[in-house]
Amino acid sequence: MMTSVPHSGGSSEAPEIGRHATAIMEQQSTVTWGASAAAIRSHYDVSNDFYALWLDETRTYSCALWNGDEDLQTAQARKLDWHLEGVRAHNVARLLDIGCGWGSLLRRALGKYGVHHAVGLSLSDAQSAWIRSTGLANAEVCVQSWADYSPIAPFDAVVSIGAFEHFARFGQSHSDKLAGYRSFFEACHRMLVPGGRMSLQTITYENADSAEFSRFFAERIFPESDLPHHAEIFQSAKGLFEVEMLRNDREHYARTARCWLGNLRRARAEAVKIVGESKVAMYEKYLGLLVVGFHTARMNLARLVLRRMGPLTKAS
Amino acid sequence: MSSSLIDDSTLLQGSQATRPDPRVTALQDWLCRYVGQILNVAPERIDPDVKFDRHGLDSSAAVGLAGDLSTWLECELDPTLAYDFPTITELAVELARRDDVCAALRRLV
Repeated sequence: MMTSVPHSGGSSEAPEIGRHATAIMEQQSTVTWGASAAAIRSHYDVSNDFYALWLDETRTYSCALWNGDEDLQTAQARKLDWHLEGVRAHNVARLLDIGCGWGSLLRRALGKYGVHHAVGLSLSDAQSAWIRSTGLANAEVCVQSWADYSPIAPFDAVVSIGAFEHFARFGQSHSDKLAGYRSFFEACHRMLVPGGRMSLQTITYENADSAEFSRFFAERIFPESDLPHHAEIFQSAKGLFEVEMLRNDREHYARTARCWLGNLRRARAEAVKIVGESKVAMYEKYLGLLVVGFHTARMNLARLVLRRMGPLTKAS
Repeated sequence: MSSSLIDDSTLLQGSQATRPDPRVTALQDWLCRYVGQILNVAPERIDPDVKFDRHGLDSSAAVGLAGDLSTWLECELDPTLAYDFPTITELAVELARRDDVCAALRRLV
């Protein structure tokens, strides 16, 4: 491992530009509207066993909510609680989770919060199959986009964590991006009972925009996806939802991604066996870039609780 | 008491000025070669006091640098290192303060 590494002993050997070093990225993806199901699956369907190596035991694949010196799983549970408390989930009849991942929020909603029936939407076959295999009672998982989903009855609460990042497509026009977000909030408005709440957690651009966004992210990690600016969230929810709470937690995401990267490095040999060397190197770079992006405030992490307003009235 | 502390630190600074810390030098050498290789220029042409971004290194390169450095030193290093210590010299001085890095350098150099 160390044989090809440079040292100060006068060797002319060059430092190892190793698996972590930057590479020129190829390909421009075609641009239409929002990330396609195929694009979503290219990331989330890599391998359940691979993700299990570096996520916490509940496989919660989004920014945790930290409080002092504690482990990742505790911080992930606190994050789920923040959202479930925010939407007043205790003992409600019906809760919807848009982008339910491996189902950690559904599980907590049905367990600790006594939600009677929980529906999860996901575009990932691997994640959905895994949730079904765990036999979660009173839960329903649909491999479907929010745009195509028609509930049989309205929901008392809606949560969406780490999905909004995929609701705009990299390179689309600003007006198309806003129209896509608007139709998401309109769908949530339709699906919620009057006065009901939704919570949203998403990565945002902070001191950057899509023109500066790493092509590595846009093409290799989250193909077809683009991030929102805070203003775009507010603008597209205007008249449909009032913002009750907003917190920005970029340092929480830097810490979460550090944990994931550390876990992946410790389990590297196992990870290589499952997905191969190049995929592991790609994820190490991706997680490192996440840490850097949040640490340097290029990106932020927004958590919002939104309250459904009455029917939209005509603005002047 | 306090005057003896001041004397110690003056002595230390004096000795550092005449004889650079070999650990810092080893780290600087590695970093100059590393950056030189990325930029395809000779390591001696890399100014260790120029900021990484002025060398043209982007965030991917910064993450790669931290990753390759941690592989070499077999230590966990944060991907943000090149942002918090933005020149080769600053980074080398910082790393040379860390016990795990120094232990690795004793094995490697």
